Amino acid sequence: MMQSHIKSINKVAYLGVLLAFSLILSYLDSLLMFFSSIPGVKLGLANLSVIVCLYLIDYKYAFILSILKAVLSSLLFGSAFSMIYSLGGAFLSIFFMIIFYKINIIHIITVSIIGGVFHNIGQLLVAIFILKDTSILYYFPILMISGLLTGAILGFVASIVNPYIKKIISIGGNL
Amino acid sequence: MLEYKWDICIIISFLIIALSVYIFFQTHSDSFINSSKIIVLVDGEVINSFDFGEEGDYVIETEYGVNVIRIDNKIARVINADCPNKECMNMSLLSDGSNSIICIPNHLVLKNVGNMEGSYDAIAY
Repeated sequence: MMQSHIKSINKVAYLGVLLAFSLILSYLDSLLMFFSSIPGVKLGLANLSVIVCLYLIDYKYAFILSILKAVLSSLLFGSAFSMIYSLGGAFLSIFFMIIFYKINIIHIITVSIIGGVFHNIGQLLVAIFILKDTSILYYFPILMISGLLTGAILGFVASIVNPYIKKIISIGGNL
Repeated sequence: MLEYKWDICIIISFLIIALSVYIFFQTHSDSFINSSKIIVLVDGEVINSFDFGEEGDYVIETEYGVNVIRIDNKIARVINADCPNKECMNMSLLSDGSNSIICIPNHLVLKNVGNMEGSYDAIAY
């Protein structure tokens, strides 16, 4: 009983750290958007902390982290309107990432790719719903390819850093 | 290699979906451009609208004067007007552009609205 309490306290503490990390990455992302010439395409660096959370802590915490990240980063660096897009993307992305993480037949890089692609698809669906114009689907191939590339990069980074973060977490007791 | 077979399947299926949507829009882009519309504004109020597909001549009669517009081959132009300068007759409206026809004496504006994905906003020389 006591042990599980300490565990969940530990998880909440790590959730806070990862949330702060994801907000820093979101800020970095909004700076790096300068380099991408296609509007709406960005690295989605903040997804890194979600993947780390998904693999090292718990899928429920990853879900909470993803939603909080979408709300807070759009409050800080975007507008209330961009929050709807972020939430749509974040929700679909984390949903499919959790499903494929649970099925456990694919590598972390592919889980990250799925996250990236479905984040873009979610945003596109929200855009279609808001603008009531299906011609935005023109954008679909570009967004899909960009989600694939950025997801692959982030998944690769996550597969490298995960063992190190796991080591740090295990110092504070197993989760 | 075999342990990554699902990964490869998923990545390839994403690529195939993206490619097929791209090809679909490349081959069907005409039907999307056709859905753009001409709206007729007098004193800033929409009084009528036409499709670029509806070819023919249309008479627009208002309290300020009469203009006749012709829609032909995805181009709209004013072919007759009772205003003094006939300036509006030198302008034309393309289905894939975002320009407009303006007749100041008759308070008339013809505008292209609707689907403009993949077309130009403006061209600078």
